Amino acid sequence: MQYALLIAGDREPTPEELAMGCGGWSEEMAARGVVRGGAGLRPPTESTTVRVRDGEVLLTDGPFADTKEQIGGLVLIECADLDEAVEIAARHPAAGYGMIEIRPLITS
Amino acid sequence: MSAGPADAVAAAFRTEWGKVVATLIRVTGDWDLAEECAQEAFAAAVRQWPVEGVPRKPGAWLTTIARHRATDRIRREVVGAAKLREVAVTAHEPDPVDTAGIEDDRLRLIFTCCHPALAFEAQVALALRTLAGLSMAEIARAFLVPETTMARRVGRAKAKIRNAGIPYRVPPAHLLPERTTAVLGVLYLMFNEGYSTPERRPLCDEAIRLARLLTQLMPDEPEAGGLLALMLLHDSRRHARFDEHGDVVLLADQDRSRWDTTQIAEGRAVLERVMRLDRLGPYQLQAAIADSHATGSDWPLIARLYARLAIVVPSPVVRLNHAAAVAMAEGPAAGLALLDGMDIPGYHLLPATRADFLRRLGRHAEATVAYEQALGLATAEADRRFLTARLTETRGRAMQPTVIERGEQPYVGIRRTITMQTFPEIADRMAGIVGWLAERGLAPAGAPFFRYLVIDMANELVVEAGFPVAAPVEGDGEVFFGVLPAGRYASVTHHGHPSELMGVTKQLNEWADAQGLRWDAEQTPAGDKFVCRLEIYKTDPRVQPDMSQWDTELAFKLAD
Repeated sequence: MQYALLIAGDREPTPEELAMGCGGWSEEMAARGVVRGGAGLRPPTESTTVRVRDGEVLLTDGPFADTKEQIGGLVLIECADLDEAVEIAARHPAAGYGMIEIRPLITS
Repeated sequence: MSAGPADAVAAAFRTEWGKVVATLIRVTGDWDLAEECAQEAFAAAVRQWPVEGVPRKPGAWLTTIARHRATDRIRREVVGAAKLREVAVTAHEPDPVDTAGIEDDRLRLIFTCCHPALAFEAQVALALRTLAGLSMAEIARAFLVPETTMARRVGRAKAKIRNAGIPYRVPPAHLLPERTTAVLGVLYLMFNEGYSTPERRPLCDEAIRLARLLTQLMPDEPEAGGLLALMLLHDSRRHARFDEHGDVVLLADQDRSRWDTTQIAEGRAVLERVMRLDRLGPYQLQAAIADSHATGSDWPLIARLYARLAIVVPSPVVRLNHAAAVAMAEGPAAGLALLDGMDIPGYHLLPATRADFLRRLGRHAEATVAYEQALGLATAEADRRFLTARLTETRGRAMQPTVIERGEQPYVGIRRTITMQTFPEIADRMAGIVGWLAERGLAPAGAPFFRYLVIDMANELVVEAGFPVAAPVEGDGEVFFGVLPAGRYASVTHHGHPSELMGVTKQLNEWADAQGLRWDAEQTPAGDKFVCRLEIYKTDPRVQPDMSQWDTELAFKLAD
């Protein structure tokens, strides 16, 4: 099974949390061979939302969802089942101060 | 008359449905297909058993038929769509003539239905459909929702199991304790859903059935047996819990001849067996409490069991029950002391329990206030009727003067010499005292009061406005610190507009005379001097602005 881990928080990480980064999680998971890709994201204040309506490109400043929780990064993983995905997500340091949504990927 | 083939099919449905579905899910990995094939197998039994006779092993017969149907269906679909994975799985399955492994299938099914990634109602609905064989209409009725709503919910849950990769298995050892707790939690919630609402009672039967199954499948898990025993012992009182009007009947008032003795015996046997495993847990402790209730309530034992339970389950509700048991074992004062400082927002049983203790202590005025709080939180009709009846009764008693003991009460106040015409000069100072306390980071520790020190109705009165405080505090300016003396007081609470207090005072005086009681007071040229004569305003005007609904207590200190 393949999953996206969407890492989100309702606040910016503290300097200590930032300094800790992924706390060795990325290295551990890469060694385990479950990581298929991913990226950390710049804050939503620097994002731009695009829509095309009636052939016109419309831009808005900011993210599309105006909620408190904002996605700060995503990781694609491949593992046996949801239980293993939960175990992987629960070990990510961001689960300790933010939250992580596990989304199965569409597979053909 | 021997049971015919139709009875045999009905019996097989009850015992074999879950096994057939559980095995078919493992073999095909497809929940819908598994259910459909199980249904077809039972339909075949209805047709064939009257003709061919009931097979020696009905379960194996049904599973074999269902598997053949599944294989046929998958082969047919393969022509159009690719379902190679399932076929591959099926092709490598040994023929299920032997029933070994089928029990594991049902255990897999329970753990998968109760996976914590599914919503509670979906967990229960899936378990009822796949393990217990309830129809979608029956499940919808149990949850009091339309059938289409329930079908959608179950459909979404099945899609999530498939697409999110929820594994079909008994969890590995490191996950087993927490996941077993989750499964037991689902069964207990299912039971409580049925127990709290009489129309949803079938949920109780099914929860008991599934717990019985779980106990068979996990004989070494003492909490599974503990939960089964707990549910059996509670459910044994179902016919005695409500009277003919649907009102709650308290345990002590229940007609014990209406308890189900067969269920009590089964529950007790299960509990005795698992307690011998010597690994106590919350369900076993609660079952032991229910068991004691079934034999006449040994309150000191029940209080000890609740004390142990409060260690395993640190919840305020458990502490509340502990206090209730202690009150029964040692008296309401001991129970009341345990409620000190407890707060369970929105939970009507806390003020209701406090009210009951106060009522039994004869502190009717305080009980009235607590019953009112409980009534403000209770929602179930039967609970509200019970509380209203108690409130009316207690209010009636509260209107009767009683002699009470009051402890010393620290307070802060302002004193004025006034006449009846200039009474607002002191009455209007109340808010000022609250402000004075707030400036010091303090809050009142009780209801405000007027204390009448000297009364000469025709001329002047010396009156204090005061608020109880939790601890001594330095007086400042016109606000001073004092202590209301401990002792015996005559007390009466008036429910109604404070302007009616003159009449209430007159009645209290007459009552005291009739009882031969004397106030702790002396007559002086300036008027009657009272050691402690209080008018306590129990109702918060922000909560109840209607003064005709206020409760005001008169408490006059008696001569020793």
